[in-house]
Amino acid sequence: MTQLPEILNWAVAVMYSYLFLVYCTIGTLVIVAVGENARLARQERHEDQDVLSRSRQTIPVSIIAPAYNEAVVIAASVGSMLAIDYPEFEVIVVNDGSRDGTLHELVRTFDLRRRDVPLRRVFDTRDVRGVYTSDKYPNLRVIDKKNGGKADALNCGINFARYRYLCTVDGDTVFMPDALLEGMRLALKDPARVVGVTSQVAINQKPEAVLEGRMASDRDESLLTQLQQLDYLRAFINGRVAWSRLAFMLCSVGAFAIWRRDVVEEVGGFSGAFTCEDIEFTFRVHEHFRRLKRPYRILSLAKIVGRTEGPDTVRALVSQRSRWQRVITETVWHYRRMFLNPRYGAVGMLGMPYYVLTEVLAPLFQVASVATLPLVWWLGLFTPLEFVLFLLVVMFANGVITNAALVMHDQASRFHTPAQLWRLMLLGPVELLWYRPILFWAQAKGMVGFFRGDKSWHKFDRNRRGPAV
Amino acid sequence: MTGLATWLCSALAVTFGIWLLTFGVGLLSRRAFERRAGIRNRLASAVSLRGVSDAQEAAGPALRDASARVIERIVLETKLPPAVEAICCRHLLERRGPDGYRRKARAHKGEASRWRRIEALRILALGGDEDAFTLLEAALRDRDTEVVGAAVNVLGRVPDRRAADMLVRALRGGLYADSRIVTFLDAFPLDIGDLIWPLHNHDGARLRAWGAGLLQRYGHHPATSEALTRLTEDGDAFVRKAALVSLGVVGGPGAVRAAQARLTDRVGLVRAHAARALGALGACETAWQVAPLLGDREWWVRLAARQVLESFGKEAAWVLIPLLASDDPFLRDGAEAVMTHLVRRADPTPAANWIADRLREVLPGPPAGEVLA
Repeated sequence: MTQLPEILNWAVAVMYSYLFLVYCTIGTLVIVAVGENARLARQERHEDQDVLSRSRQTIPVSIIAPAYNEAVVIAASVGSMLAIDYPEFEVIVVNDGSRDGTLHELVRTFDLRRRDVPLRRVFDTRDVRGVYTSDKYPNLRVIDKKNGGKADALNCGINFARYRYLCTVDGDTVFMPDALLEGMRLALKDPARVVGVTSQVAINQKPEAVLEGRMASDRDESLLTQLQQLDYLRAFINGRVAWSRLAFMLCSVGAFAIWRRDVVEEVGGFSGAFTCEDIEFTFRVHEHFRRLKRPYRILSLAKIVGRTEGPDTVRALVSQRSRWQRVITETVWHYRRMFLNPRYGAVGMLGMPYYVLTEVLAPLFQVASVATLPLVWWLGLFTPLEFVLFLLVVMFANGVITNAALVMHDQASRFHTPAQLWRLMLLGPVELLWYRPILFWAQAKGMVGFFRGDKSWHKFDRNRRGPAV
Repeated sequence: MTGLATWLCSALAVTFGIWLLTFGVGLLSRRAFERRAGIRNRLASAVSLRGVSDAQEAAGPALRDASARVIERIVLETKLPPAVEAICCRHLLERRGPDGYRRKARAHKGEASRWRRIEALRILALGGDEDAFTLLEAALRDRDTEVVGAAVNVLGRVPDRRAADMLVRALRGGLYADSRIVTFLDAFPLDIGDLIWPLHNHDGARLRAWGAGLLQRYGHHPATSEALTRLTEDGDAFVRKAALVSLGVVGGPGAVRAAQARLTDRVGLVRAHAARALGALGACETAWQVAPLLGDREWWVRLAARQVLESFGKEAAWVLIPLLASDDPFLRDGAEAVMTHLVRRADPTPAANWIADRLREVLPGPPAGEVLA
C-alpha cells in the first residue's frame, strides 16, 4: 500500500508522456495539413471546372448508393445525386432488403418500372429480386436485393456498373452539385496513379431539410451536431489531408469515395467479414499495391461534398462511435503485419503506428486516466490547482487544433457564415468537458465489443422528423 | 506554487496564446475575404450594367479603390466573369508594370515561388501581355507537373490561336494528361480546325483516337464524316471506337454503312460502340443487324444492343419476334426484355397491342422479372 503513491506517480508520468506524444503527432500533422490544404486550394483556383463539367472528354462515373431502411431520406439523397453537375454518370441505388418502404419511396418518387437488364457477375452477392429503371431519369437504376450488408450491396452495385470509375456513397447523404467534379478533378490529373479519392461530408440532423431549404443554416443544428461537425472537420482537414500528403491515407469514408473500378475488382471487392467495409477496403488497397511495389495514390480532398445525418442523441452517438472503434481495431489487428514493416513504406512506418497510438491505444489510456487522476488528486499527489491548470492546457490545445481545421477549411471553401465560424471556434475548447467524455465512453465500449468478437452493425435510430416548416 | 503548477501555467499561457492567435487569424482572414467579395461584386455589377464595350471604364472606380494585392487576390481566389477577370489582369499589369510578373513567371524554386509563378503566368496571359506565350511555352516544358497543369489551364482560357497551337503541341508531346488537354481543345472558343485536323492522320494511335474525338467539333464539314468513316477501319481498336462515337454525333452519308460494318468487329468495345452509333443515328433499318448482338459474348455489347433496340422502338419489334424462340438463351432473353420494355413503354396503339399479342403467344407466362446473367 505504501508503494501506491509511487505507482500512481508513474502512471501519471506515463499518461503525460502519452498525451504529449499524441499532441506532438497531431501537431506535426497539422503543420503538414497547413501546407497541403494551401496547395489544394491554390490548385483548385487555377483549374477551370466549368470546362471540365461540360466536356464530353471527362471520364464517366458510376455512383453506387447502398440503401438499408432509408425511406425518410432516400428521395432527397438520390435526387441530389441525379442533380450532380458532371458530364456523364449513372446512379445505381442498391436497396439492401429494406423493411421500411425504401423501395416503394424510390419507385413512387422516380417513377420506376421493373425490368430485366444484363448482369456481369464479377462478385457473388445475395440474390437480386428485381431491377428498376425510370424513363424520366435514364441514368438511374435501382437494384432490389436480399439483405446482405453494405459490402454485399456495394459489390452488387459494381456488378451492374458500366463505367471505369466508381463512386461509392451512402444512401442517407445529400450531395452538393459539384461533389463528383471535385473528386474526379484529382483523379483525372493523374489517372494512372490515383486509384482512390475521398472527401468529407458535413453533419446535419436532417440533411434533406437543408436541401429543401427548410433549414436555413447550420445555426439550426443542435450543440451535439455542431460538435460532431467540428470532430469531422478536425479528422478530415488536419488528419486525412495530411495523411494524403504523407502517402498513408488509410480511411476513405463510406459516405463518399471514388475508386478506379479495375482496382476494386483486382483486390476482390468489398468485404463483408468486417463490421464496416470502408476502412478495411482502404487498408487492403494499400497493402496490395505496397506488396506488389506498384505506384499508386489514395487522396483526400479538403472540401465538404455533401451532408449526412448525424446522431442527435448521446445514446445514438455512443452506438455509432463504439462501432467505429470496433472497426478500426478489427482492421488494424487484421493488417498487423504492416505495423512498422518497411516493406509497406509510409503506411507501415507512419500510418499504422499513428492508428495504434491515437485510435487503438486511446481507450486504454483514457480509462487509465479516468481511474488514476481522481485517485492522485485524493492522495494529494496533484493539487486542485494543478488539476485545473492541466485541464485548461488540454482544453486550449484542443481549441488550437480545432481552430486550425476551421481556418484551413474556411480559406478553402467559405462554407460557414462568419457568425457560424466564430461560434464554432469558441466551441473548440469546451468540447473537452462534454463531448470528449462521450467519445471516451464510446471508444471503451467499442474495445469491449472488439474483444467479444462483436461484428454487428447497430445503425443509430433515424433522427426525429417534424412536420415541414 | 509548486514546480509543476508553474510549468502548467507556462503551458497554459502558450496554448491560450496560440488559440487566441488562430481565432484572430480566422476572423481577420474571413473579414478580408468578405471585403474582397464586396469589391468583386461591385466590379461584376459595374461591368454588367455598362456592357463589355466600356467595361474598363466602368470598373475603374472599384479598381482604383482597392490595393493591387487585393485585386490580385480577387483574380486568383474567386471565379470571375471572363470579361471582369481580363479587366482586372490588364489593370494589374498597368498598375504594377509587367516586369515583376514576367520575372516571377520565368522560373521557380520551392513551393511558394511555384505558386507565385503560376499566378504571374495567369495575370500575364489573361492581361494580354506580349511575353505571356513565351513564358507559357517554358512552363509547359517545366518538370513540375503543377506548373504544366496550370499552364494548360491558362492556355485553355486565352482566346488566341497561339494558345490552341501550344495545346496541340502539348498533346503531341504528351506533356500533361491527354484528357485534360483535349478537354480544353474541345471547348476552345475559336475555330482551330486546321490545328486539329492533322491529328487524325498522325502515326501514333493515341493521337489519332483523340483526333477522331475532336473532329466532332467540325461535324458540319463534309470532310469530317469522310475522315471518321475512314478511321472506323483503323488498325487500333481505340481509334475505331473513338471514330464511331464521333460518327454517331456527326452523321453523314457513309456513317450508317461504316457503323454497320463494325458490328462484327473482333473487339467487343468496338462492336458496342458501333451499335450505339447506329442508335445515335436513329438507323432503325439496321435493327436486324443489331439484334444478333443481344447474344454477344461480352456483357457490355449485349447491354448496348438492348439499349439501342429499345431506342428504335417498334421498328425493332419485327426483328425481335423470331428471336423469342431462339435456342440461344442470351438472344431469347434479351429479345424478350426489349419487347417487354417496348410494350410497357408504348401507348395503347394498334402496333403496341399487336406486339403484346405476339408476346403472349410466344412467351410461356408473364415475364419472370429475373435478372439475366
